[in-house]
Amino acid sequence: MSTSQTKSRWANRELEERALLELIAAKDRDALSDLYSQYHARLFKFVFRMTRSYSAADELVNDIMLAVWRGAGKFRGDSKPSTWIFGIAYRQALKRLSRKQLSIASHLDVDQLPDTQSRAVEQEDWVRQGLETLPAAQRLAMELVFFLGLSYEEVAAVTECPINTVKTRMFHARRKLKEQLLSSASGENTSGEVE
Amino acid sequence: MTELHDTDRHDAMTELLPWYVNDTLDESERDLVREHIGTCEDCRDNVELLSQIQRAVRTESPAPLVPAPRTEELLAALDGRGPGHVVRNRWRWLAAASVIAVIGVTSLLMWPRGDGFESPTRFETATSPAAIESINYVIELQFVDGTSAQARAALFDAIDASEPASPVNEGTYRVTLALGSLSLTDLERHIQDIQSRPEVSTAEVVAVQLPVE
Repeated sequence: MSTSQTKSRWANRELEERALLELIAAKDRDALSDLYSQYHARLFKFVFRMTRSYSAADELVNDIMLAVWRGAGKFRGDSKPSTWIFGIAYRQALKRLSRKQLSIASHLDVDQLPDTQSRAVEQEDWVRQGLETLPAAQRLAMELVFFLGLSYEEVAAVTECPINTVKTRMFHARRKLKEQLLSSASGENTSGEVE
Repeated sequence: MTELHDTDRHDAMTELLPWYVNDTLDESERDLVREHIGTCEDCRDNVELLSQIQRAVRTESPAPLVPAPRTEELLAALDGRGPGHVVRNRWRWLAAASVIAVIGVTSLLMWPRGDGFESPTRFETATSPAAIESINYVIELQFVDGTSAQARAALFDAIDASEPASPVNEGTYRVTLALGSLSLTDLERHIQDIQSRPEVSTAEVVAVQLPVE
């Protein structure tokens, strides 16, 4: 598929999603079902990465879609539908993390995973380990940029932060990971949290 | 930005590197960053590090088995017939596939070799104690007539498969899934889960690819 075809496909998808959100704002249940089927997998993977909990992610996806149902009328169209929806997902997951006192960095409910997945989770490389030591805001910024592939404007919209804050978080996250890599290579420990 | 001093320019370019790597900068920013990293070894190192992070984040998949959508429960919650969080059964995602009959395991015996498929003498991959993590399963999906391209793309995304450029036959798409050394039961569950999607009419494993020793 050529680049122009890919861009065209994504543009069409965005138009379709905008239309679905308009219908959802008018309380069209079929439109919600359509949007749900299109977003379910992406949302599950994203909130799982944030919460590291199958059960929490499983619940959160439907909570997010309920929030979309209730809030579709507030979608102003000045961002992509996906940015708006993942913004809801981000905030819902943060709320869950706060309420359940789950720690993004330390909690991983391996017991809830099938054996094959538990094994996969145990096979962490240094990047994964490094990411999990980052402060939550920096780790989430990394997820938004590299897992969802968002631009800095989109990350700012999702996290409701100024663009400069987003850039600063990414800068410090990268610097910290680099320090860890270097210290790992030399067998030293690093310390110091930078938000 | 072209009038910035060298240090300021370096700092400005450094801040943009994550988005240079994820390819979301606009054209003018991308050109500026590309020009800068051509002359800045530190930024080239950082691009390498960020690319490594991006690869790790994108390939790390601690949740490869996405549960089936629970549309009915969502719609029930809209009517107040369900709890706010809809359903609390953590294993629901595993049970969602139970409505579909067990697929023919014999289809697993197809083996890619040469120009076509040839049956091995016995199944010795997914259940073998010596099974290796990098097992690929080649799966053919037949979509229900009228399935939109968006729905197909969503399905491929859900099962962590790259969308094929074209079908192998009309309405039939062949994808390769790197599912590791699944037990036969888990493999069946996974296939059933795919087949339980409303847009999928059939899903079957047509080949198992073992790593070459």
